[in-house]
Amino acid sequence: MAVVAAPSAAQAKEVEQAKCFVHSVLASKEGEGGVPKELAFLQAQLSQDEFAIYKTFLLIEQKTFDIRRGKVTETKFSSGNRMGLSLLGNDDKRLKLHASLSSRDGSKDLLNTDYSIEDGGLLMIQAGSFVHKGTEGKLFFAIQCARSG
Amino acid sequence: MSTETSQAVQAVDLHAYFDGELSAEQAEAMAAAVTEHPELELEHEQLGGLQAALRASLEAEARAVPAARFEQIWDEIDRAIERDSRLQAEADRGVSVWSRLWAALRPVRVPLMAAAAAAAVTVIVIGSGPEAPNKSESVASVDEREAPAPEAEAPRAPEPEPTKLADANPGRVSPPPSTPESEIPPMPVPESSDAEIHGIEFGGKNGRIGHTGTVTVLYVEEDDAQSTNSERSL
Repeated sequence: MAVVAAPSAAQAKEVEQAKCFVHSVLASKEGEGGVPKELAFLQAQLSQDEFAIYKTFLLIEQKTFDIRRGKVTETKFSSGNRMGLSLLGNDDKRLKLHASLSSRDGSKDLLNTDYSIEDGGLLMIQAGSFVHKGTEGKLFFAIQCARSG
Repeated sequence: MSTETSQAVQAVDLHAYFDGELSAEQAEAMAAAVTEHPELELEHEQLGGLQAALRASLEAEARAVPAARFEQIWDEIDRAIERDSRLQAEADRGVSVWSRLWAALRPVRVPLMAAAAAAAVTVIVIGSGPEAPNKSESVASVDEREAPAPEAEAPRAPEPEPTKLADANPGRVSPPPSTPESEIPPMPVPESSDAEIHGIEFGGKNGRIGHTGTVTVLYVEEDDAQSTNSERSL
């Protein structure tokens, strides 16, 4: 009788590349703008209690990272924050990633983290108060990565 | 025994005296006793020292809490209030107007239904007569052919437009609509799951991890010099 074993994490095909989309978002307590169409894909997340206090969400910019295993890809955002992402590993369903975020003047790292998340899952970083085009709010970075090769 | 009881009562009174909980007469008597008995005076001084030490400790503890943490605490309070009011509003919306009307009319429901039934019977009886009431010349009603066209009806007062929130608060300006820097293609909806944090270092003033079950949020704060001032920054 043959026994078919499910592939374990150790047997998962190694992912060498991933594509990450990072959106910088201003969450403001002002106005009643809600979630714009550019951020509609984040509706489920932005409807959580963590964001209930915010009335308006504005997309500031979006950047795409093509990351490789063991190599840090870094980009600077218009806020001044530099973000670094790298792929650390994977199993069948999840990616293990490293993310770093610098202060706005680039003088030091605000955050360094290793995390694992489902393929296509979202991690958000709130990086303090920010003003975008005259609107005050909190600056968020939404990081979404999926395997690409 | 009598002396011990007296001392015990005096100790209790001394604490009340120290806390300013005695009446004026009792306080005056206790002040005299403190002056008269050195052991009471010593204990009174010790209470004062204990209070000063406790106050200094609490003040030092409060100073050690970062200002940004206060900001987060306020945000959490705001979120809790917002969540409660939203849940309340949703609960209110869940009950339909008809259900509320039905409940409100509960005390007069039976008499109203009886009156409605009686009226219906009356209409049926009248309607089944040999002559329709509107055809009778004695009835002051207008024949359909002579009825004015709908345009000729008396003009109704225009229905008020729903008040916009921004209009209701003229001092508060809504932010401009979102204008992304470039055209963004539609994004895939992310998986709703928390991230597992294997290791984390916060380099700013402070940081924390928030899990919602749908998304993980990492909170970091820039130093005061770099962050935007807030009305709640201490």
